[in-house]
Amino acid sequence: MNHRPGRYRWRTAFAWLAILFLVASLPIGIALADAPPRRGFWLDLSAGLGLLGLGLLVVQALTSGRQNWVAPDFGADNLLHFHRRLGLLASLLILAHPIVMFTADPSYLRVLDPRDGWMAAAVLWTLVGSLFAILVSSFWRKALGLSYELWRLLHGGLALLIMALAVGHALAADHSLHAVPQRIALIVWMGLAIALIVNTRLYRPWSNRHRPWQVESVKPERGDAWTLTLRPIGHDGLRFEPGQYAWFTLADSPFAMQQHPFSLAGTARSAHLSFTAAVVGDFTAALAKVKPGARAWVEGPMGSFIPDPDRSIPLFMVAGGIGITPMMSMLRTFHAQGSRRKVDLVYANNELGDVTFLEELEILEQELNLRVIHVLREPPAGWPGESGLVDENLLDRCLPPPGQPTQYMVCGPEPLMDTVEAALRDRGVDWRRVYSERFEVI
Amino acid sequence: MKHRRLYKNVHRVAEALVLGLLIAVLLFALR
Repeated sequence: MNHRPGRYRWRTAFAWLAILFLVASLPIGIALADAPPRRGFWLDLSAGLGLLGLGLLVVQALTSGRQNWVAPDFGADNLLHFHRRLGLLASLLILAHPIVMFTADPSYLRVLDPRDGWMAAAVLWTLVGSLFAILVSSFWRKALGLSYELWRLLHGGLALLIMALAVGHALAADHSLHAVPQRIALIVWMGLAIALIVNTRLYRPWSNRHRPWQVESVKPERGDAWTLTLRPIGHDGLRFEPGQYAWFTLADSPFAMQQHPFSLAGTARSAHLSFTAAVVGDFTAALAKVKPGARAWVEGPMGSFIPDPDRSIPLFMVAGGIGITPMMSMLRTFHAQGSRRKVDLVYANNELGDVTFLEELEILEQELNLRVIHVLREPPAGWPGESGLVDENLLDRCLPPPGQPTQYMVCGPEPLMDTVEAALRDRGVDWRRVYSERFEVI
Repeated sequence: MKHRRLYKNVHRVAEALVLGLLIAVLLFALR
């Protein structure tokens, strides 16, 4: 949360990677502590893969669930991306564990036969089925037509089931984890992971239950978007920095599975919160039907897409479409502070009619030290401004001279961000000064 | 919230660590 732009600490990043290594390898360490009997290379390799799989499940619990003490060092979007990739790897390692074992000694195949002990067979088949289910539902959620809410419920349930069954299986298999202290250590270790999941899914919403919000207004915006303004009920609201985001639940209960991330678009340090969402899916389409007075819950703030607190550093912003919302929070906050900070904003849209906040930006341009460069893909006849896509030529015309201590902030659709990030890099911009926010995270 | 370049670098290191984990498994099997 207190992440300072341009002051990224490599040491923090590497410390986290070392922690990841320790977290993932601890079950192997626990097994080694008692010098388990050797059973030959392939069977031991198989056991090692299983133990590593257990450790990676703990890493998965740590990298998901928006743990606030992990996310600020990496960015929640990076972390979720990592969680997905690691999830695939962990599943492959876990599945390699029985495959190596059955190949090394086919007699182990009997553990899958319910006639040879129905309980063990049921646990193993459920474990394999759950692993496939969690992979398929996560990587092909949209193709399967699963709603985000249903998927989230399923994902949490399957994750808990896999953890519990995996620990049970490791303890029952008994080869590498024989002594009582080791068994306790493994249970505690996996218990921590389960506690993290319970913390995200139950404890955090529960502790939020005395902090309800009420929808005050629902307003249509240009560009097929809606702005919702919320006010706190019986509490002092949320303190956030401009550019941060929060998770919103529009439901009577804080435990509702529906929870969506939106940039906080309003002035920081105002009692009210607002967010603006473009209609892209079921949830955003339903925002238009939300009635003032409806109950809402807010978890956050999150994110480190924040302007440098040093106001003498100019900002160069590039926004595409609804990616304007964090920039709006910054501009509105500067306006409230009477700040004269220099800001250039390149704002890309399809048509003039799509330009969310067009009129407000015109006013802000008069009242702040702000220059807005609209870029329209399909400009109206006689349009005097920039047209086409944001490309290197356009950036060359707008970018400040190299060497100037500017902070760059980029938010928009993936292709725009890729172009801008590459162009800035090619122009020798110090990458620690480039802040970008990707909102297509789930 | 994203330092993309840094992330790519860290990601590479993370992949190296995963490789390290696999080596740890191998050592476990070869101990």
